[in-house]
Amino acid sequence: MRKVVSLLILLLASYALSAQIVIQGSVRDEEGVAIAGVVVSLQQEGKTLGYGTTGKDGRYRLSVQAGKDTATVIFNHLTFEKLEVPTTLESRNLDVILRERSETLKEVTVTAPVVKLRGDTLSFWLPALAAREDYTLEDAMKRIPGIEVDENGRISYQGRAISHFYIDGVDILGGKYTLATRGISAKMVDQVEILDNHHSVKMERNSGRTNEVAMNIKLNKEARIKPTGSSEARAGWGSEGFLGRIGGSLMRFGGKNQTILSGKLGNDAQFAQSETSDYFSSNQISGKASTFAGSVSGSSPPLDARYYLRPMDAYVSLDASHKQSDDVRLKLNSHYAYSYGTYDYSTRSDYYAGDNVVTLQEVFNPSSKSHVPSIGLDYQLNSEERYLNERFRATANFITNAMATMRADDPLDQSSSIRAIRLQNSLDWRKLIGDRRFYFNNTIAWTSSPSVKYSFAGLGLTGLQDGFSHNLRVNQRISTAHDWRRLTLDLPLNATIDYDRIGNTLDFGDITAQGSLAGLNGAVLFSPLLRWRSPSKQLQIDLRVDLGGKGLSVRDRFTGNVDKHILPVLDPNFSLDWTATARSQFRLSASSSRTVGDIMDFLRTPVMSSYRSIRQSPGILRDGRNSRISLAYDWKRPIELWFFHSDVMASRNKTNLRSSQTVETDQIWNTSIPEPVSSDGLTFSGSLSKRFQQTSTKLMVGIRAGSNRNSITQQGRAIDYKGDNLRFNWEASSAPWKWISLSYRGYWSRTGSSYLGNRTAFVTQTHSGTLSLFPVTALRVYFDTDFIRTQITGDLFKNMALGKAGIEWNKDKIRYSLLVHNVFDTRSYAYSIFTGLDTFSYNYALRGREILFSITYTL
Amino acid sequence: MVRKLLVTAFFALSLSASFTVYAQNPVGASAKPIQREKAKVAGYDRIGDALYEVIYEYRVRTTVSGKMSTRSEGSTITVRSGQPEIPEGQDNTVSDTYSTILQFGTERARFLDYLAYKVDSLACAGAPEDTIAKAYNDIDRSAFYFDPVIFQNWPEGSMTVDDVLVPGTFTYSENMTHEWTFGDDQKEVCGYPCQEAKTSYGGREWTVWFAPSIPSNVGPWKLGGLPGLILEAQDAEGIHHFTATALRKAACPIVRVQDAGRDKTQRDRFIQRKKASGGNSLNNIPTESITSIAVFKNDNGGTIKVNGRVTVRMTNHTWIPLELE
Repeated sequence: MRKVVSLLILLLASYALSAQIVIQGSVRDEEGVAIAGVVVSLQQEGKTLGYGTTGKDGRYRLSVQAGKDTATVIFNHLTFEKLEVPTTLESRNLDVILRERSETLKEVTVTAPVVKLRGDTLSFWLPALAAREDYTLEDAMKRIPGIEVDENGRISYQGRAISHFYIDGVDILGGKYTLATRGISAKMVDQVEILDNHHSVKMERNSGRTNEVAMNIKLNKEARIKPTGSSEARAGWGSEGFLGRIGGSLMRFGGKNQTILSGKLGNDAQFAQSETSDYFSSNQISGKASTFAGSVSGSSPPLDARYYLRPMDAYVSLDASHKQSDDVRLKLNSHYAYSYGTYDYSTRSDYYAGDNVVTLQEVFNPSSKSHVPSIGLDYQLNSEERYLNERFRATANFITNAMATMRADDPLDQSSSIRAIRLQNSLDWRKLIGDRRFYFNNTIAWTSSPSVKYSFAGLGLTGLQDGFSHNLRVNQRISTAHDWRRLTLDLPLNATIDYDRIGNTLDFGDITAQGSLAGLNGAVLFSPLLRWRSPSKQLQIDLRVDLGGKGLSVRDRFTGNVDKHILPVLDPNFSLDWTATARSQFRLSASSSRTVGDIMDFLRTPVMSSYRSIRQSPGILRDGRNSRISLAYDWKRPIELWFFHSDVMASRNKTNLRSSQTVETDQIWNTSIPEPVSSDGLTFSGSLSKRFQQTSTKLMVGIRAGSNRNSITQQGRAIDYKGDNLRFNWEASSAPWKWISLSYRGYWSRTGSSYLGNRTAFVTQTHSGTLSLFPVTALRVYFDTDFIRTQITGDLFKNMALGKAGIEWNKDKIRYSLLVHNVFDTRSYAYSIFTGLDTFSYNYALRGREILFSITYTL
Repeated sequence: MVRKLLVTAFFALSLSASFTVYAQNPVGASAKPIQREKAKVAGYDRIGDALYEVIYEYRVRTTVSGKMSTRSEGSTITVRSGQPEIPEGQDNTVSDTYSTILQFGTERARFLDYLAYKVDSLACAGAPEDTIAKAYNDIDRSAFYFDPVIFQNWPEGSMTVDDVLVPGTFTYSENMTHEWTFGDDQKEVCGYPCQEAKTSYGGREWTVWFAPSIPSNVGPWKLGGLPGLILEAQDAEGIHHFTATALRKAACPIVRVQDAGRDKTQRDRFIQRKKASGGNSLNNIPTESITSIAVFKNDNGGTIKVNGRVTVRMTNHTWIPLELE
């Protein structure tokens, strides 16, 4: 009996302990209306014992384990104030009344991930990558691993130059994108997208992989809905006197019209040429007559021109795009750029002259002035089935160069001028019908250099060279391509004809010569392409062969002689593109092409390239073959911000003409002799970059190595020579804390040349560092230094330190800055280089210490 | 209360005005790019009010597969399997990212792709017809698009799912019951302190993070039933991951596109059929069910619109289902 009672007590106790309790009730508002969707939970010491939601009738029911302690019933709703009611853990009815909530939920936007990869599009969230001192888009883009921007503003990704630059999907500027990268504030940009395997033509998107990579800048909402831009004024003083700059840009994106208007005028640094350069179709007109202008422009050292050049630059640019419909766009690109620059340097030139070396020492003061107006109009229809692009371009170059020279205390003045104009119209039509594509392309270009002059006076001599050239080129291409499952067959037929007129006169000492030629140069090529793609589209192989012929007919207008040549062409091309994994890509290409000269090969008149150098063609057409093979490998882990790129290229060039140089005391003669010669080249390059987001650190290391072998006739003797170069470069930038930012970059390079058992090499190394301090958020104090060590000759090294320091203060939309340039007041920079068997040593005069104050206002 | 009535009346008027110019999925469209015509419009059914919206980034960790996407030749749809899947040991992992959005109010919620939401919100705002047509074209051309539309707590206590199985659209209901186990871990997601919870659903083990300070029992996709809004969810294998990236006030109500061709079905049958078809590819499609094909190209491949109603995304990334059972 006792056992039964104990068992009963035990059962009752355990039942009591495991018993469920029910807390239920209704939730109403202050007017007695039932509230649905109230989240009701029973909490005890931060733990949720049970929960539920009220139904339409406002009722709830919580069923939980019974217990001795107290708990809290929490009533929570999106539009009513939270209510907490303490309770014991026993069954009860609990009706509550909630009051309307006055506050809403906090709105939140999480910072976007730094990098996203979707298919072939890699997006970088720029605000997470840009450093505080990055003002322009170009400054911030340099922080992105895998992207490189050179000193002129040219952008490349994983070693490949970008093929298109878009702003919010619109190609406004074409190749003039430096205007945007240096004119758009980094704060206006949300994302930088890299579009690999890019097809700018919509109907080509299924025609296979391309090697093209494009960039698209995505602006933030503010930049899209209202005009943006900046204006700037600078004033200062330096060793050359007053320095100043004034400029501004106004940009409007969004809607159907995009416009970029910018202009600048200043003499503190060069900017006109780099900011108006078109990287996709050059503004520089290279007419054949430009050779008659000689080389009066002087040489440039591997140093920021800001240190040695005294410029005066100005430009105005207007670029506009109008979207007529989803597929149709009109575009205008126009600019006028004026650039003037002068500097001073001296040289020591050692020319190999057989048993001895002829040495010349000279002092130069070159100056160059150029006017480059350009206008382009585009009409583009780009739909899924059709493409039509009508493009007109007109560009002119008016360039005047002067060089005051001192040679052994004897003065000499050289000057040259080039007047050139180019008009070009091209029509590109494409159509997709089912699996077939049809192409028609017509280009007409007129390039005229009616006046090209070179003159010099000094050393008891005078010389005058005058020349002209006109060229009319017509190119016609028709093609059809058919796509099957894995194959594409493309059958293009291309015909090009050039009509040339060139002429020159030379009056120098006892040389008086005159030449005038007229020529027709044509080529007809049939270039079938067979493309195969693997089923997974990871492997693509292209086989192409150029079949046809080239013909040339040149008439000497003075003698009446006619030279005619017809040459067959059979040039194979092979390329393989393999996306081995989502992270790795290989590209292999091999080609062999026949290289043929032009009308200039028949100009037998001597041409002066400088007061001491004359070149004369033997009147033989250059004919050769260039073969090359290259292999590139890209690897990336974009989410982890690792990027690696490498490529190796081997080439061989064979030609029927060997370069020949004869060096005399006062004159250097250059010509070509009819002897076959071949030259080889091998280059390797690689770079690895990584970004550590936690400390905003970017690391990059690169290597470039190359060797070449060539042969030249010097002083009547055939000499083989070899050149080699090796260069390491590195970069590290970091912003580990809010108040400091550091960067360090440098390179070490060795360039060598060997011939006839002699070997010489020069070593150069540069170390550059920037330290930025932010004592308060709006204030930046920075110091930038360059240390350069160059080998001039044998055991002679020269060290040089350059530096600049500055203060920047940002207040609202205005930035005030004070800059001291060339803090150490270094006045000269020296280095040496090889050209063939000759050695040249340079010493440049640098601008002294300068101080500049500027105000920039951003819209 | 008065303010609510005015807001409701405003939206009702806006919707009634804009739905007359809103078109969706006209049946039997030609192979040309879709033109939105006034005569072929579809309406909306109003499901409920939305107070807030949460944008979720949905990432799927998958692989580059050897299976080729399909191609049509005339009236024949042929599926070609290319080389087998890339052998193990090779690094072919990719991450596909989708933008999705959850609208929720005091009673109901809707989860769908952001591009689809954009079309609805343009219609809601009375945007011009060509703007809405362009938004539709963005859907047709998008390489990454989350097909299902999930209505949570509609009807009450249940979920309604509208989904696509080429060449048709389907709908089914299921109960909103998940058995949750609370964890001890806490972390901040989207600026809100969150608590951990776990459940099993659809053959996967899910770990979620919910915010008790946001009193809503809904979440991304089909996940819900917690005493707070779910802001992050991930399956145990790390394949499917939903993360809230923004929370903001709602811009338009919860609506459902009217679709007369939408077939009613059962959840289990639909899941099994979708798994068998390998996602939304054209595998095993009876060719006689195809009346039209329109092809759109994009930088990531292309899309095919079948019968003017459903879109197949061409990709060589392996489709990995959210639900295994």
